[in-house]
This record gives sequence, structure tokens and C-alpha cells, in this order.
Amino acid sequence: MTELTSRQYIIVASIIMLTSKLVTMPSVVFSSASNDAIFSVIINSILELLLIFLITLAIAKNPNKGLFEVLKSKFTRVGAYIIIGLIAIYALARVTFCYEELYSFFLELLYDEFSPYIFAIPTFFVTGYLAYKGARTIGRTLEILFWFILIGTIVSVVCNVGFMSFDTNMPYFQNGIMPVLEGSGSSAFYFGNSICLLFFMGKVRIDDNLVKKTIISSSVIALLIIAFCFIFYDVFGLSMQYILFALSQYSQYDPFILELQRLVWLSAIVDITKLFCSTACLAYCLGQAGKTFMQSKTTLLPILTTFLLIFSLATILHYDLLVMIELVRNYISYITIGLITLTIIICIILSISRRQNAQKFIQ
Amino acid sequence: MRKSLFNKIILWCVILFLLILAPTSLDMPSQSVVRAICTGLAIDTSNESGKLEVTAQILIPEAGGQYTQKLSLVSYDAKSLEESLEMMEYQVGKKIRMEHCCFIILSNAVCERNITTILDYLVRGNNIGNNTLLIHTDGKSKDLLSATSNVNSSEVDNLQVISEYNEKYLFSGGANLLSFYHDYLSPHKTSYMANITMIKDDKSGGNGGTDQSSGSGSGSGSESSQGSSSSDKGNTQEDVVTSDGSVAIFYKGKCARVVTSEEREDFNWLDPKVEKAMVQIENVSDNILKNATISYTIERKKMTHKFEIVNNVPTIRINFDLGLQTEMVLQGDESSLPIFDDYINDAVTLAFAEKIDRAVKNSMNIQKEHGFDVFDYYKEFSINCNADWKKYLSSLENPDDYMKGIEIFTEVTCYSAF
Repeated sequence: MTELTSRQYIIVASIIMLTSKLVTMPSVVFSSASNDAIFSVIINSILELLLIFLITLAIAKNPNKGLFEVLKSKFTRVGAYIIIGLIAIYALARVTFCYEELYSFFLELLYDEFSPYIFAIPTFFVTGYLAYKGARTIGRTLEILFWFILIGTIVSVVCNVGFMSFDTNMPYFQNGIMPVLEGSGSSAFYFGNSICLLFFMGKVRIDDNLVKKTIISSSVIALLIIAFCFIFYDVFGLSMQYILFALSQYSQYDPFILELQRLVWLSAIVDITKLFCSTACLAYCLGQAGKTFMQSKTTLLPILTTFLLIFSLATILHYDLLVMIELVRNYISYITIGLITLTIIICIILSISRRQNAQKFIQ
Repeated sequence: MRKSLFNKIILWCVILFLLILAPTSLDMPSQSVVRAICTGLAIDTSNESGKLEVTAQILIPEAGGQYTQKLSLVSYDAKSLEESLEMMEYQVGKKIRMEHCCFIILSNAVCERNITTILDYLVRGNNIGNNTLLIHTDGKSKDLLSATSNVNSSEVDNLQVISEYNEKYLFSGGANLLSFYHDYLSPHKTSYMANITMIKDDKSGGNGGTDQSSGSGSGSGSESSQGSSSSDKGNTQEDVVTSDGSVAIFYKGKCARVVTSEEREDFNWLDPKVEKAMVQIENVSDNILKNATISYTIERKKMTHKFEIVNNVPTIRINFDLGLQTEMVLQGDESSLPIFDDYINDAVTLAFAEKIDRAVKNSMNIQKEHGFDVFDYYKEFSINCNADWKKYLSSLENPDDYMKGIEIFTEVTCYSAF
């Protein structure tokens, strides 16, 4: 049964792509690639576009079957479990990371002292409820919030254009190409979100131009992310290494903006909404993976289990974002590269073999 | 029954959350009870060796207040900024929050050491805004902070006003915490900030200003109400915060030199951000005027740079296009000469060229003497002639001394601003 219209799927893909990259990603890339960080972002954005293209193509070619069924038919039952398990592990890490970002963002922007456990109760409830209600509810919610999020992000990006000098980080490639590759590698975790879109397989109403429209909208979002990073790196320059939260600092650079409190509210409302939406999408995908493994017909139990896992992982990490970032930079990102490669191969197989089957059927 | 309960799961969850969260929220003290807001910070060296005297200008919010609370000064001598602030919290009995800290004043004595070692605590923490202004003062920074406390908290802070104004018209340091660090971390390692001083303005008679206790409060753990003037028998000495446009230039985190207001005028020419200025040209002689003094307003200043390395000598050629407006013409003791709408000719251009060349050479000499690179020529050479620049740097015994080998040449074109 299709739960998402093409338009809703495109919006979900755009939100998943956009939101989780604007908080800590710019700082993480800069810490590895320094002046050349923008090139790492460009490379990763291109790879993510390729990933979204192939995933959407695979979804379009397999319109009426869920992810597990499609994988089972191509890679056997065990293979399907392994693939979904790998994606689920990534989704678990990603959702936990999103919660930690959200919690740290609250601390940075709104509260000084705020118990992570008190934070967990309402946030888990809101995102968990969205995940429980399913793809249709997520799609409709994001459809309503999309323009609000997009315009808020564009305003945040534009507000610092006046402080740009365009050559702050020049000359580029002073230390060769290696820092760029290192930056790309250490931040791949942020660019693998789209893998979770696979869980929407069989739930999207396929239009003729779904792939084309998805790629166009994703390209626009990728450009927005690149513009955000470029302006950010240009305005803050080498002092970037002291900034962790790009978004909250972004609206506070002008010495006189803070006094007037012009744009802090924008970060407080729009950016937190973005993070909530993105987290709900990823939590839904994780819940779907849980549902597959538990072979459950209802969604409640997998969702509860999922959130118990997220809570446990976040507690083990003491809700400390810096610990998680260190893990991401040094290990998880490089594992994500492998997973992205695997997903690309799987998507190609799913797209091609389906087409061959269709051709056989026509003959 | 079971289905009905399940359908109302949201309602049950909301009730559950209310039961968990409401008591804790209601039991929490209001933020005004537990917090003191720091609006400015002054850092001096302490009388005790190796210690810092940190003074915070704090506002203690009151519930339902009208924002007319007095600003208080709290000081503490400690080895580090972190320790000072922590001890101040014990004094005040509240947590000192830095989010609204508008400026940090650093005394000259403090700036003799690398100030990044002092400010590191602030930059790493999330407590303070990165846009906090940094201000250098020749005297005691605590006195300057005390003087600024005189300003009503509902008004715009005068230090920011001075800094903002100077940035438009002078080569001056509108440096905030983040831009300072950016420059410090750059290859040229040169940062700068505004030098703001305080003068005593004698006023006889009068109302004697506001009734205030002394704002000195020196020594460990002192707290005093704010004050910036002292009254004695009808004569009032009022502290006036002022900026003569001098700028403190930092190299590798230490204050290398305070550029005086006269020297700053030379730096003004090299700063592309300074577009407007008033300039007086003396001894202008031609077929109309003889030894005349003419004042011009520079309405537009366009600078075109050319960076090249000729025979391993980095060379900067700057072309100035000046849009001028004649303001005053004096010849000898006479001032009632005919009005020249646009008295701009070759003689004036030549006089401008000589003046600019002299100013540019002076400012470059100051930079070469101390090794600092105020206008980031390092980056410009890296962008424009990267390979030759690297070769030049490698040819130096100490690559940090790259400024000493740079030659600079100027060309001037003057035109009417109308």
C-alpha cells in the first residue's frame, strides 16, 4: 500500500538531506580539511546525490514491494537480513547522533542546565509518535513544515553574506589533495542519511518523473548546503576550530546582531524544528528495520524497542556530543563509506535486474 | 475496553508527562534568583605576581524589575580567568552568565603576554558570544569598566558605539573574540583591537553627577557598587571614556605596539575599508595659488593592488583613485579667496601622491620593524604568486620576518567627487 505521494517522498528526501548537516558537520569537516573544507563538502554532496539517484531509481523500479521482500528475492533471506541489519545499525547511530545534537543544541541555545533524561521524555515521545504513526503522517507533517524550514534556512544563510570577503580561506590546496580526502572521509557519516530512504521502498506512489524531480530538488538542497558551508567558512575563517554548532553561531557573528536579538529566535525555532523532523524520519526507518527483524505486524513494539536502544546508546555515551563526534570522525564515518558503497551496488542490482525481468516479461 | 484505552494513549502519555515534569518545573527556582548577568569584563594584572585581577560588571536581575538595576563590579585575583569567575560566583551567590557580555577590556600589562592563554577558557566554553568586543586600554582596565558602568543599562553601550563608529572612518580594531582568534591563527599572526582610554574631565560646581561610591574595589574578593566619578567640594571629576583612534596591534597574541592617532592616519591609507577621510594638503603652488593650504574630503577611495615578486623581492603596487571634494582653501592669512568648486589639478595630485607615499612608507616601516602584517599581505601574495612566494619564504632565515623584504609603491589619481 502506498503511503507517500511523490511530492511527499521528495520532501522527505530533502529534509533528511538538509537538516542534519547544518549543525556540527561544517566544524567536523573543517577540523580535518582546514581551508579546503568546502571541497570535501562538494565531493560528499555529489556522492550523496548519486546515492539518492540510485535509491530513488531502485524505489521506482520496485513499486509494490517492501524493502525486505525485494532484498529477499535478490539476495536470499539471510542476505536481506544482513543488509537491513547493517542499515539499521547505521540508522541507530544516526538517530542517536541526532538526539545528541538536538540535546546539545538545546543547551547551547536555550538552557544552561537541562537533564538529558528530562529532555529524552518529551523528545522521544514526539519523534516516536511520528515514527509510530508511519510514513503517511511523516510525509504530511513535513509537507506542511517544508517551506517554513526552507525559508528559515535560506534566511539563516543569507544573513551573513554581508560579512563575506570571499577569499578568507584562499589559497586552496596548500597541502595538496589529502586534507580534502581526509575531510570527505571523516564526514561521510553525515552524508549517508539517504540510505535510510530505502525503507520507503514500496510505500511511494510512483510518478513518471519521480527520479527526475527528486534529483532536481536534491540538487537544490545540495547547493544550499554547499552555500551554507562556503559562507560559514568564509565568515569565520580559521576561528572555525572553536565553533562546534554552526547554526547557533551563524546568526550571532555580527557584533551588533546579538544586541538586537534579531535572528537568535530564528535558530531557536526553525533549526530545532528541522532537527525534530529529521530525527523522526530516521527513527521511522529504524522502527521499520526493527519491525522486519521482530516480524511484528504492529509498529508499537518495534518502535518502543528502537527507542530503548537509542536511549541505552545515548546513556552509554553520557549524552556527550563530543564523544560521539570523536567516534564519528575516527571510525563510524569510514564504516559509513563502506555502507554507502554497498548500498550503491545493491541499488544498481535492484534497478538493473528489475528492468531485465520486465524486458523478459514483455518478450 | 482495551482498544479504547489504547486509542487514548496520547492522552495517557500527556498526563504521565505532566505528572513527571510539572512538579519538577514548579519546584525550580526562577532564573533571576540563580543567575547574575555579566555585561562586561576587565582583566588586569594583579599586585600578586603571576595572578590576574578579573573584574566583572554584573547585573543582578530582579523579577518584575524595570531594568534600572545598578550595575555592580565584582573583582577577584586568581591565577586564571576561570578560577576568578568561579570565585566571583561564590561572592555573588549566583551563577555568573556571560551570554550578554558585550566587551572584554584588557590592560596593557596583561597584553604583554599572549592573551590567548587567558581567553582560551572563554573561547572554548559555550558561555560567551563570539562577537564579544575586545578592547585594549593603556591604563587600568578596571577603571574603564567602572566608567562604562555609569551608562544606564537601557541605553546602547558607549564602548560599542565608539568601536562601531571608528570602524567606518578609521583604521581601527572593531575586533571581536572570533575575529581576533582568526587573525591570531592566520599565517600573519597579527590581530588588532581598539585602544580606548579614559580621561578625567574636570567640572566645577554643578550637580556633581550621580552619587556613587568608589568603583575601585581592588584586592581579592571585593564587591562595590558602580561608580565613575568622584565629588569633592563642588568640583566634579568625571571619567570620560574616549577613543583618540589609536589601535593596539597584537603579534602572536601579544601587544606589539599601540599605533598612535597620528600613525593611525598613515595606516588609514592602506586600509581598503576606510573610504572617507578629511585631508589637508599644504604648500600647494601653481599659477593660481601660492603656498596654499587646501582641505579635502575624500568621498571615495578605490584601491587597486598588484602583488608580484620581482627578483625574489615581493612588491606591492597600489593605485589610489581618490574622489575629492574641496572643503577649505587658505592662502597665507587670507581665507576669503574665490570659491573653487573643484580645485583638483596636477599640483594637487602630486601633493597627494607625496603625502600618500610618505604615509604608506611610514606605516610599512612600523610593520617591518615589529614584523607584523596588519593587512594580511601574506595571503595576497599566496593567492597571486604562490610558487614565487613560497620560494621567497624559503630563502629567508626566519620566514616570520617576511614583511622586512616587501617593497611597496603607490600611484595616485585624483578626480572630483561630483
